[in-house]
Amino acid sequence: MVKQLPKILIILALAGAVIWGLRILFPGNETRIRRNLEELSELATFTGREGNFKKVATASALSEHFSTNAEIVIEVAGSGVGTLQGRGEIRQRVFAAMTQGRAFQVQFYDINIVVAPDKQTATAEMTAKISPGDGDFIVQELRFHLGKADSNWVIERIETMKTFQ
Amino acid sequence: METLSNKPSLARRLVIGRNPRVTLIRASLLALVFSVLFGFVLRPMRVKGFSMTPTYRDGSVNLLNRLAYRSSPPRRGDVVCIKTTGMRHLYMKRVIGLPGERVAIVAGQVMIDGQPLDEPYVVDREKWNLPEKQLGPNEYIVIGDNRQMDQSLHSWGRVTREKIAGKVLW
Repeated sequence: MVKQLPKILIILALAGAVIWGLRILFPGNETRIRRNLEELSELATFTGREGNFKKVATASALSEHFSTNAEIVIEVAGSGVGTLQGRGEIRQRVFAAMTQGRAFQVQFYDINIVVAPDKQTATAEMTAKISPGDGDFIVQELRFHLGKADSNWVIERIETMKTFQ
Repeated sequence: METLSNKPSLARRLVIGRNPRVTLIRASLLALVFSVLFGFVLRPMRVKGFSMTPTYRDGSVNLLNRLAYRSSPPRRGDVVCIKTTGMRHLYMKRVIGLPGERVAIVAGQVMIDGQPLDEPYVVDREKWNLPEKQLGPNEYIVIGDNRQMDQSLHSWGRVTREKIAGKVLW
C-alpha cells in the first residue's frame, strides 16, 4: 500500500487537473454569469480620457450584455428613480457618460446567483459600489434578472433591492 | 571556543527563538487564533460617510462583534451593522424600534408606542416624519444618529433580525 502511494497521488492529481480543465473549458451557468458580470463591471469602469473609437466600442460591448428589451430601474436615496429602456438607450447613455470626461467605477461584491431549474433564466443579487469619480461613492443592492439568448446569458432587467423597508 | 561558535546570534534568537520548531508552532497557533478571531468573531471595519455623526466620524475604525446576538436579541440604543447581500459593505445604524412596537417620527421626535424617545446621542435634528408603523415579531427600526441631514438622503428603516450582522464594539 505504501509503495503504491506515489501512484495513487499521481492519479488523484491527474484527476484533479482533468476536472479543473473541464471546468475551464466547459463552465457551468453560474460561472458564465459570474464572468459576464465581471466583464460588465470592467466595461462600466472608465477613466473619462478614452478616445472616441474606444468610447463607441465600450458602449457597444456593454450593451451587448443586455437583451434588446432590457430595462434598468434604479432608485437611489435622494435622487429618485432612473429608468433605461432597451439596449439602444443603454448604449447611448453609456456613451454620453463616457463623453463627459469624468472617471466612473463600478464594482460588484457578494454576488449570489440562482439559476432556475429550467436553466433558461437566473437572478443575481449583489452589492454594487458605484464611484462617479468625485471621490464619493454609492453602495446599492441590485437584483439582475437574466435570460438565455442563443446559449448566452443576457441581462433582461436590473432593479434596486431595498435594504431598509 | 567551539561552544561560542555554535551559539545562535542575538538577532537570530530574537527572530526565530532558541527552538525554531517551537517558534513555528507558536506562530501558526497565533495566526490561527487571529484569523478565527478577526474572521468570524470581531470584524474590523472602517466607517465611511456621515450618517452616524457625531457618534462615529467618517474614517474612524471599529470592530463588529458578530456573536453579540447569539444568545440575546438586539436592544434599543445598540449600534449595529446591517448586511447587504453579503458582509463586504455594511450599514452602521442605531436600533430605535423593537419587535411588536409602534414607531413613528413626528417633526424629528421619535415616538415609541405613543411616548417620546429620549435620544441623547442626537445633537440637532431636522423635522423628519414617519407615519406610525407596527413592527412585526422579528422586525426592528434602525436609524443613523445624524438627523441634521435631509430625510430623503438618509438610509434607514425597518429590517429583520437576520439582516443584523452584529453589534459595534465601542
